[in-house]
Amino acid sequence: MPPRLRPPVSGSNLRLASRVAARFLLSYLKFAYGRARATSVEAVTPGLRGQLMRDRAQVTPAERARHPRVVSLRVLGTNPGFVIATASVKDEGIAAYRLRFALREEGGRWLVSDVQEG
Amino acid sequence: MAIVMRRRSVRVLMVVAAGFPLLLAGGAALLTVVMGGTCTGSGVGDAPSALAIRDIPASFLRIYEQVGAQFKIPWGVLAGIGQEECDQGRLPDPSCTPVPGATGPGVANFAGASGPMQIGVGGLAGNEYQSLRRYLPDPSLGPHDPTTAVELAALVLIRDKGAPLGQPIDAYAVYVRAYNGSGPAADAYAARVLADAHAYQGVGTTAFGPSCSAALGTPIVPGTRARILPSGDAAAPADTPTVVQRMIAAGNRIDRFPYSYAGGHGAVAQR
Repeated sequence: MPPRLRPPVSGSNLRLASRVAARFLLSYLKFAYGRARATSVEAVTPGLRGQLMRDRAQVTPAERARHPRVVSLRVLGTNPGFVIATASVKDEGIAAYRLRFALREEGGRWLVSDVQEG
Repeated sequence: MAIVMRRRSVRVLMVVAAGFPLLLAGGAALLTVVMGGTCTGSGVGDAPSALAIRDIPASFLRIYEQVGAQFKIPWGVLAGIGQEECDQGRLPDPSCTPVPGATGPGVANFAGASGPMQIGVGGLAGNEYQSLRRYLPDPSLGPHDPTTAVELAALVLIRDKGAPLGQPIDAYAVYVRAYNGSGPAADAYAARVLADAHAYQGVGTTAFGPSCSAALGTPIVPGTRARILPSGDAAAPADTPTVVQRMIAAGNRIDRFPYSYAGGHGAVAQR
């Protein structure tokens, strides 16, 4: 019988990354729906914070009127110190949508380094 | 020596022909190839899902279908933008309010976006209205007029963002993203618009256009007058004799060939 491979990210570390992902999501959705500034988004790398501050997406009137909630959040450790998170988000629009983001362990802390559509 | 004319001349001929159907009906027969089916009436139904019928105000749904067919953009994408911008014009935000017949830029929000499709009229949102209004059938109308708003949204996608024509919904992701801006929030916006588009357009409908237009091989517009589209093609009027519609469709098929007096189109004219 072949030896079992150790998961690239330990269970305790994955739970930690999951909590950071949830914290990030709450602050990020406030930003994305026009209720907070990019500087208030939590647990992001300096690179992503810079991108959020530079980017010029328009917050639409519909987004401002909606209240997003996270329907599900899954994390998957793919490499040591690297986790992919996928969230399903529902607002008052007609369809749920997915957000996918990456977390990196830097200096003993998990930080979100990249966000993209699902 | 062949005298090569530009295709604009062919388009002018087609519009004149559409205005005088009886006079040119005989000539139309010469241009027509065998095509099946007739396309009269509104000719712009493209199987909206039950959700689309329930969720989108009827007047807006009709506009999305018509403009989608005219501009060869999946109407569901336009409807998705309308949903994600101003909730199909239902939001109480004054910058969203649809006002049929409204002229000029109208009331804009803090970023300079105006109307139910939130077209940029200055400020952070840019001034797409100013740069694109010359392509409108009536350039005096503004982004608060519902039809003009959707036409401007299609023009932003095609002319400003470089979107291709006649592709399936998912091919428009990058252009919808650019409609909103850049970065992760624009990614999420595009994801929502495309999810809406799929939900609206229903199972089995993956491309633009009504079945009537597909059968005819050319876009259909309501009414009795043909229209020149931004693509350069002519849209056939729905409420005219079939022979006229077929003649316009035939014109669209040949209007990209060089033309010479008495020399015809295609290989002969190119010598």
